[in-house]
Amino acid sequence: MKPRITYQPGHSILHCLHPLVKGAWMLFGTVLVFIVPNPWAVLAVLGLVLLAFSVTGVRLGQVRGTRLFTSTAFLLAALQILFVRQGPVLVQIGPLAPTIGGVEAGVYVAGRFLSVVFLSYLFVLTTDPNSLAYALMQAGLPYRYGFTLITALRLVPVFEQEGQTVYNAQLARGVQYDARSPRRFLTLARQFFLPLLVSALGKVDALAVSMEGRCFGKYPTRTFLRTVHFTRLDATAAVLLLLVTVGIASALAVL
Amino acid sequence: MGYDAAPILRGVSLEIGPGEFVAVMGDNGSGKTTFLQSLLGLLKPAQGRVEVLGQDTRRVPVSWLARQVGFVFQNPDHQLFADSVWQEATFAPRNFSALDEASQARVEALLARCGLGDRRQDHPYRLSYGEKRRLNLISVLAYAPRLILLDELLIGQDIGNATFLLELLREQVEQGNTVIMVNHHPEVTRRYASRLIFFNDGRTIVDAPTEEGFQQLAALGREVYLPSTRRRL
Repeated sequence: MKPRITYQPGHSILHCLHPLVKGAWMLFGTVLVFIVPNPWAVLAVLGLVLLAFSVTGVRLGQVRGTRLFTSTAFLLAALQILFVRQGPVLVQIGPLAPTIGGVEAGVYVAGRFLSVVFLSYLFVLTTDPNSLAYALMQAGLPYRYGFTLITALRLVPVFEQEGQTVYNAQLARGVQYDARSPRRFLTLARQFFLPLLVSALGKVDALAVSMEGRCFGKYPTRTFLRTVHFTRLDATAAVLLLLVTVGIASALAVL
Repeated sequence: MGYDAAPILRGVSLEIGPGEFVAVMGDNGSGKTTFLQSLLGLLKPAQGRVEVLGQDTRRVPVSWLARQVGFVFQNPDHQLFADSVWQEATFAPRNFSALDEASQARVEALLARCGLGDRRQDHPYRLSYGEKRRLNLISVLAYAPRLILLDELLIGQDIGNATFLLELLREQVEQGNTVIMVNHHPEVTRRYASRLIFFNDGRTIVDAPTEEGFQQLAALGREVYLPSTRRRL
């Protein structure tokens, strides 16, 4: 089974980066692929993102969902190439006549899609969720919300495992996940999510009672055993981000 | 055999016949649940072969095996997904297109015996823990499987409920069906099981008729797993 889309511990430069600085870079990358006017620039951003993966040591091909998202991107590109008719025809293949405009639109859509997905992957795979929550709390997020975030992230693998158990329990009763119609799909989805929802509510209730029992929320502020430090590397990355943002904004203004 | 890439069961070789009541015991994480899941084909062996009712579990879909093999999971809530007790109890026969008068009568009789006869229209989540467990078992017995797999069926059951469920299972064995039950109660094993399989770190270290199995466990120094009358205090 491929690894879950969750934090993969490591010591790369991206792993060591402050979560908020990394988040800012991710946000910048996401905005960038939507504002650059050239489809090949989107491909360049995608290339940089893929390059970043090689730095982290995480093999993208081995992460769950990569194949699905890549196939979806190719499908989106193919649809654009087949149906967008702008500019000169590249080649005539029977009734198909892909145009330069269609190819550019395909590159645009697929490049943007994959860039956003892989940027998110990059962030999730290299960021310890606890560090992110602690960083947010140090930046001023009330600790109640920070703890909510930590708990939610901590429960993701639990629910994933529960989902597998519910799925197995249904297979054991002869349920076949072969949705032949929307109605059948809805029935299967309801049968799958109902036990999960009940289990989730039970866990949340137990957790709330447990926290209540330990006086969570008694004080408006709290101390932290663990702190996330802002290092020289983070300062450099933040300044670089600022410079790149200003540079690209100026270039776009000129264009 | 295992989850992800990590093997959990290794070198397990055994054969279980019809009409056996097998108790599977062992420490937490020793491979008991993995063993049960492999018998329904939910987990496939990386090496070796698991044959159930003459079929290699790698070659037949789980849905095929599920017609002959009933599985009660550890957590009752994981198995409840219908809107009423009746629908839950009859889900599998309906799903297998086998909800005839005989199976309906069987379910009605089981519900009545389990004290759920007047709760047919209630939502399963409104039942108590013990009632849910009984409903889990009814929903499996409803389609008369030849092999019944039970993962810690007795958790959270009072003595009355536990005895009732065990007697239901004994009846199944008397009818020639096979019961394989993961269980942590030596007394229950001694009283109901005809065979004891004990797992340790993914391997079977005991596989013998129950009394002989307890003797082997004693010889292995596993005295905490012995019934109280055999335990040296």
